[in-house]
Formats: sequence, structure tokens, C-alpha cells
Amino acid sequence: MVTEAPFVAVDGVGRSFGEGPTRVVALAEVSVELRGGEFSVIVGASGSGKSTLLNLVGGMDRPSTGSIRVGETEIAALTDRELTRYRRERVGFVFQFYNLIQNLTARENVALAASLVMPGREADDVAGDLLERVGLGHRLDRFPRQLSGGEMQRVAIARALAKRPALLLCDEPSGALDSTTGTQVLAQLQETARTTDTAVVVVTHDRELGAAADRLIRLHDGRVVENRRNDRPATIGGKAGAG
Amino acid sequence: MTLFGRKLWRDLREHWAPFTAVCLMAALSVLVFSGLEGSWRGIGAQLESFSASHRLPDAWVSGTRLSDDDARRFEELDGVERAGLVSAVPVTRTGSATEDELVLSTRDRGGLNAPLLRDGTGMPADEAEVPADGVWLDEAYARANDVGPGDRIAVSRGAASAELRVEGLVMQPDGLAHTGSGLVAPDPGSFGYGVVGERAAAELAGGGPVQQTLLVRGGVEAVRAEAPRLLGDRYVSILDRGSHPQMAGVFERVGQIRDLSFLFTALFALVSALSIFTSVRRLVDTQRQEIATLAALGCRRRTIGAYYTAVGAAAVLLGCLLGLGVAPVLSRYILATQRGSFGLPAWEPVHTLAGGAVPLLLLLVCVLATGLAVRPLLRGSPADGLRPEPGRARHTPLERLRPLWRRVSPGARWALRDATGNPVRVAMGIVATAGCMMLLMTGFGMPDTLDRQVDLSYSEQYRYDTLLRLSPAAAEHARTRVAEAAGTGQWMQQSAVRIASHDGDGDGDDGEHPLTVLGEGDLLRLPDRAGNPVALDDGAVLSDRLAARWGLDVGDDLTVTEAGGAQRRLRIAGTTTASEPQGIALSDATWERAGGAFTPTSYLTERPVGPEVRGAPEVQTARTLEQQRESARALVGSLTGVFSLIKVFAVVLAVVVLYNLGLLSFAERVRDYATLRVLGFRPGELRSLASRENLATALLGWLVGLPAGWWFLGRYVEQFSTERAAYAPSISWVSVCLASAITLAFALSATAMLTRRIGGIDMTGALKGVT
Repeated sequence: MVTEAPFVAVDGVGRSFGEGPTRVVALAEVSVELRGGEFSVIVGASGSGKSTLLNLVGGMDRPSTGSIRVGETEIAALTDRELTRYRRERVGFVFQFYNLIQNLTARENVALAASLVMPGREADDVAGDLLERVGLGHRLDRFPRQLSGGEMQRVAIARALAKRPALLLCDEPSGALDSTTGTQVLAQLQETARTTDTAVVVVTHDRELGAAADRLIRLHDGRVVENRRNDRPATIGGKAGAG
Repeated sequence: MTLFGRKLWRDLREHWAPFTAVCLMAALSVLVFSGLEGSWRGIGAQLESFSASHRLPDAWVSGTRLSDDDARRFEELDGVERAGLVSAVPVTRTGSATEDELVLSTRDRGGLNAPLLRDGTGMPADEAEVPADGVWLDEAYARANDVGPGDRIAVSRGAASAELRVEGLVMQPDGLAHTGSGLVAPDPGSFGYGVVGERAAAELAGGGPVQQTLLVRGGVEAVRAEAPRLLGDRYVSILDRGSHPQMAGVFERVGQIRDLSFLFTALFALVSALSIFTSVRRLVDTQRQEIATLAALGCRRRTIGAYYTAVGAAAVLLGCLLGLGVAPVLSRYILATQRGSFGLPAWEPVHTLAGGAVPLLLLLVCVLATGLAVRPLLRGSPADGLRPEPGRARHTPLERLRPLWRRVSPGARWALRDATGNPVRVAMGIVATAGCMMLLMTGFGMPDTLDRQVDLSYSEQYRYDTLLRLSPAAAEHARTRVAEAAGTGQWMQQSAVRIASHDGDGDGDDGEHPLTVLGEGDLLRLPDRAGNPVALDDGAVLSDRLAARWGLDVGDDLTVTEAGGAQRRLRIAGTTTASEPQGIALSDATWERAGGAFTPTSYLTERPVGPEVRGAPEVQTARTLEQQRESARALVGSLTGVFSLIKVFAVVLAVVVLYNLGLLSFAERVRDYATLRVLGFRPGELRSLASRENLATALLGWLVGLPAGWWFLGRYVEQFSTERAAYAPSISWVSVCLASAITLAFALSATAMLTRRIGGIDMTGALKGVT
């Protein structure tokens, strides 16, 4: 269920890299709002600033200008230590290339993240449950090299959800997958937004995904050119979640 | 520069850390081998050329009432090139601050043991032209006492005295390691030798006994066999280059340094090989897609293989050149540390093409490592190489212990599986840490061993005040007079015997061995393995080293052949761990029961003796226990530089290798660390995760290093042991703790240096791109 009040408020945020003639403006005067339970999609061409915006909201980077409020917290003003805590307690991240720890099994990868917010034994149980939920109950003890791309991404989603984050940020989660598998993964993410209070944000260059979004944000050359709410978003894959 | 040349240069720059480690380890291996080679070959070359050019004798036959006729009879023996008679008179230099002792001898007219002139005027060839008051003085003594050609020195012996003019400064072949009698280290400030004419020698003898020696060159075996027969009861003893106390050590030193060079080089070369292997493999792994791209473009496999071999070889070659360049410095340093033990005409290192053996070995390792790393990639299709690497994760054997495994945290599991998947890297870490521990235990343990031996020998074993060495020509009544004047003491006879047969393994004779017969008294105790004094009345006591060599034990028999040819059968009643004397020891009663005659050569006094005893004509030398202890300590002190160098090598080994390993490990995991940072792991938590494997490797290496260090110390001590003195390895707990603390400190500091980088990881940069 989408909350009324914005959970994340990005206000006039800019991010530039380098100085002088080599200065690159990745984002300029970006203002957006994200809500709990909302499935937001950020689209744009390569170099439009999508990933940069995600990194800023996720506390992995600091804006050059502007403010980012998450709940009552102005994250642009947080120290490194406070940002780490912010990511630990509030943010889940899904990467395009999964970034699973190769030497840990599927369950251990998820348990590792869960152990940040709960005791070890409970983390283990939660890991098993989450993997069951994403349809990998039969692959718990496989290493990433023994999983397909789609399976790895589902492990990554389970890992991101293990901390019960308020904010789930996904950078091109289907970018490395075939269309069928990618659809399944996106469906999983949409299901998460619909069934929890988690604000799910997906960055993609696939414009068609916009039809499934509760909110569509389009970036071009570091600026927001479209930011609209979709009152009747489509269900990805035709049904909620992936089995 | 070709494109591949540019790529090589850039690859080396980008991967500078691991290849710097390869370079340094190669340099260290070559430095140790060539540096030590330069010193032992340098000493050997000087010995060889000096011995040849100045006709160092092969045998020294001591006797009484010898004449030139005896020398001529020896010359008729098989293989003898020349025999010459020389006489030596020990004198005291009067007018010096301390009573310096000089041994003044005549020269062989046939040129054996010819002194090398270092300063001043040479000795005239015609004996008649040799000044009656002229002396050619030992250069080392002269320089230490600020005496030069033209100076006059006053010497005396008993009632006889003389003032001699220093005509020249010389170095004699058999005086390279001249020490005072009964001392182990040269002390040129107080002890020296000189060559005088026959007139001067006769005057200084003053009617008292002189030391007569037949110098023999060639035909040692014949001389050894026939000397007792030719001289009869005038025969005293025979020494050769291996048993002469002032020569043997110099020749042995060549072999000692050579064997040590092999020991140390083996360790460094092993670590170098592992460094090469891990660094080349890492480079190939990070460039697998480049390799596949090159193959896809049509580059021959041979070309690609040759390129990656060249990258490793460039680092190895640079290191080898660095090592070869610095080796002469190390050679000179090692040579300088030997100056406290003996002299040489020149101290110049000698290097040969053998120094190329280590670089060649390391290059071969480089070729092998590259082949092993690149071949799997080149065997597959380029498409395989262009795909993301599938990963090498595998379960560890520990996972079979399910109850235990369940308790292991994910972070620890990560570290354990990583170690299982990278056995060579783990082995390298363990070898480096163990190697550091081994070298440190040796660097600390050697001084401990030698200091302990000095304490044991000169506090517990030797309990006399003064050792009076008597002239072999001293009659029975003269010896009695000395004993009465010196007070309570103990007689001792030391001679050399050959082993005719024994009950153990192997044949009998393998050279001469010391025989020590002790009269009544307790001033010289030989300890058994438990440290208790061995009783000498029950039979012969054999040194542990000989007993082990021949497989002899208590109750076994052995038969010895005396100088005159008589054989004595002895039963072994015990063994002793005493460092000196080696060989066989027994009481006078036991010796006489076996048919031997007790003819003492030394008197051990219980209390200090006065000048009337020291100056008695029968007394050749008087040496206090304190003087002997100080001499031994001086010898140990002269070796401090070498032991310090070993410690430095230990630290360099640990720091270079462990830092490099840490860098490799960090580079492989930076993406994982970035992921975990994103997930919310604190830098401290990541450092803890990151250091786990390094800590485990360091601890394991330390544990392995403890017994390995003890073994290495034992091998090192074995190199020092000779036929005349044996050492048992010893290391104090303080030294073990110091070695451990230093090893772990450097191992952990390398880890700390690297884990600090975790805080500075750029999350966004590290996570870009394909896994």
C-alpha cells in the first residue's frame, strides 16, 4: 500500500564530478519524492544520471548541492559512520551484476546481510524463508557459480530484503538477464512493493517498464523531464510475483 | 617500442606491487647466494693461492731432539716434496703494558711456510746474512701494537732476554689464525708470532727446551704412517691441515659459509618461486578477457604465452640484476666479519658463473608458472575466455563436520573457503611467516647457543684457574717441580690417536682424534646428557658426536692406535656432550690398565700461579680460565654482525611477502568489500573479516615456524661444529618470545596496512562492470 507522505524527498540535488574543463554534471537540480509501498521506475538513456541518483539516495555517494531527506533524516549531512548505519538499517540494494560473494552459498549470502540486523541463528532461518519465497528453496546450498543469472539475481533480491529495508534500490536488475527471467525478477520486485511498506525504486533504460510503475521518473542529461504518478499500473508478467 | 613492449611496461606499472615483491624476493635469493659465494670463494681462493705460493705445509710433525737428518729421512718418504726443521721459542715482550706473548720461530731454509712480506725489508736468503737481532714480526700484532719496521722490541724468556729490531712485517701461511695457546680467538693485541734467524732463536732458548717441528709438504699419508717409526720415542704428535688448531678453522670456514649459503638460498628461493607463481597467476586471472581477446584477434598462443612469461621474467631479471649488483657488498661485509677469526693476504670476493644458477632457476619457475596459468585459457575457445569467470568457490573439508560448521559465521566461512580455493597463496603466507620465524630463531638462537656453550664450558666444565702447558721434552722431575710450585691441581695428557677398530658401524680409521687422559682431580668435568659429570674410572668416555657417527654405545669396545703404533683396547663407559675436548677421555688409571703410559702434557691448577711458575723453563704457556673465557666471548662477539644480518633478512622476508599477499588478496576482494559496504557493513567489521585469513595464516605460519625454526637452528649449528668442537643448539625462552613477537608484529602490521584501505574503497567505482 502506497503511503501518502513522501518517504524520500530529493530537493534540488545536483552532482558533478571533476573540476574545470573536465567537470561533468551528472545531475542538476533534481527534485523527486518517493513513497513507501510505491514501485517507482527511473528511466533514461545511458549517462542520464539514473545510477547517480540511485547512489545518492542509497547513501553511497554525496550530492554536490541540494538535500535528500529520508524520513526525518537529512542524509546529505550525515557523517560516513551515520551513512553506514543508514544503509545498514534502511536500504537494500540490488545490482545489475548481482555482486554475490562467490565463496558463500545462496543461503549464506542472504544470512550475511541478515546478520547485520539480527542474531546469527535467526539470520539463518530468515535467509531460508526468503529464498523459499523467491522460489529458490531447492538451491539453498549452491554457490553463485552453480546458479543461473536469474537465480543469482533472486538471491540478490532476497539478500536485499533480508534486512527488511524501508528502501529497496535496484540498478538495472534485469539488465544482465534474458527477457523471460528479467520479467520474473521485476515481477518479484513489484510484488515486494505491493505487499510491504518498502519503497522500491528500479533504474532501467527499458521505457516499457514505465507502464508497470506506480511512479515514473524520466531523466535526460541529468535533469528530470518527466515525473508522474500512474494510477493504474500494469502487473508485470501478468500476475504478482514469480514462482 | 613494440605494442607488446608498451603493454609490458604498463602492465608492470599497474601491477607494480606484486611484481615488486617478485623482484625483491628474487633479489634477496640471488643476493644471499652470490653474496655468500663471493665470500667463501674469496677466502678459498686466497687460501689456495697463498698456500701454493708460500708453500703451506701439509703436515707438522712435533718431536724432541730433532735434526736436519730427520728432515732428510722424511723427504725420502713416498710423495714428500720437502721436509724442513724449524724451532720455536715462546717469549714475553717486556716493556709493553700487558705481557704480550710472541712465538718466535726460525724459518725453513727450503722455503716451506715462507712468510709473506707486508712491510719493511725481506729476510735475506742466506742465513748468514740474517741479523742476529732482527725479527720479522706478525703484521696483525704489529699493527695492533703500533710497531713498525725500524722499531725495537724487548723480549725475554726465563733468564734470557734480547732486544730485537723489527726488520719487516710478515704474514705466515700457518699463522693466519694465530691465537695464544689455549685460546680460540685471535687477539693480536696480546698474541703474535715472528720469524728470527737461528742465532737469535738459540740465544733466546737460553738452554731451555724449544718447540721443534718438522714441516712436511706432500705425502701426508706416508708421513702419518712412518713418523712414529722414524722418530721413535722422540715423536710427539702430527697435525695436518684438518687438525692444526690455527689452520683447520680457516679451511673449515670456507665449507661452513658455502653450506650456509645453500641453506638460506633454499628458503628464499622457495618463497621467490611462490611469489612468482601467485603474481603471474593473478595477472593472468585479471587479464583473462584480454587474453581471450588477443586469441580472438588471431594472436598465436605461443606469442601470448611468451608475453606473459616476459612480464614475470622482467621482474625476476630485474631482481636478479639487483641482487647480483649488491652481492659484492654483502660479500665484503661477510669477509669483514671474518677478520676477527683469521687473517688473509687480501680480502677480495670471488664470483663465478655459478652465481647464475639461482637466476636461471627462478626464470624456469617463471616459465612454469606462466604455462600453468595461461595454458588452460588458451586451450579453451576465445569465447570461453570472454565470458565472466565462473568462479572457483568450493566446499572445504571442514564442512563435513556439520555441528561445528553450523557454529561458523558467514565471514569465517568466507575466509576458510577462500583459503581452500587459493592453496598456493595460503602456502606462501605460511612459508613466509614460518621462514621469518625460522630466521629469527636462528638469529637469536645462535648467540644463545654460543653463549650457553661458553658458560657451560668455562663455568661448569672447566673448573681450574690456570692451564699450564708443558714442554714435551720436560722430564719427570721437572714436571714434579712445576706441580709443587703451582699447588693443588690435576695432570692432563692430550695426544692424538687413530681408531683401529670399534664395535659400531663402518670401518675403523677415519683420521686422528683427540685423546684426553686425566690424572686425579676434579678440575675438568665432562657432562653426560643429563648434565651430570661422567665418571672416567669405569672406562673410556666418548664424545656424543663420535658415538653417533660410529653407532657406539656404553659397553662397546674400540681399539686405538697410539703415535708409536701401540694399540690399546678400551671399553666405552659413557658418552659426553662436552663441546671440547672432542674424542676420547679417560682417567690415568683406566689408560694404564689398557697398557698406556700416562705422560702429562698440561697441569690444571686450582689456584692462581705466580711468575716463578709461569716463567719456568718447562712451562711453554700459562693460560688462565678467565683469559680463555674472554677469548671465547670475543669469538662469539665477532659473529654478531652475521646474526644481525639474518634477523634483517627475516623481517624483509615477512614484510615483502605478506604485504604482497595482502595486496593480492585485497585486489581480488575489493568488489566484495564494496558490496558489503553498500549492505551496511562498518569499516571495522570489514577489516575484521579481511584480516581473518591473514591472521590465521600468520598464526599457522608461526606455529609451523616454531619446530621449523628449531630444526633450522640445529642445521646452522651443525655447520659450526667441527672435529675439535661440537655445539648443541640452544635458545632461551626470551629469544623465542622475541622471535615470535617480531614475526607476529610484522605479519599483523602488513595486515593492518592493507585493511586500512578498506575505509577508502570507492563503492560506486568498485561495483561497476561485470563480476
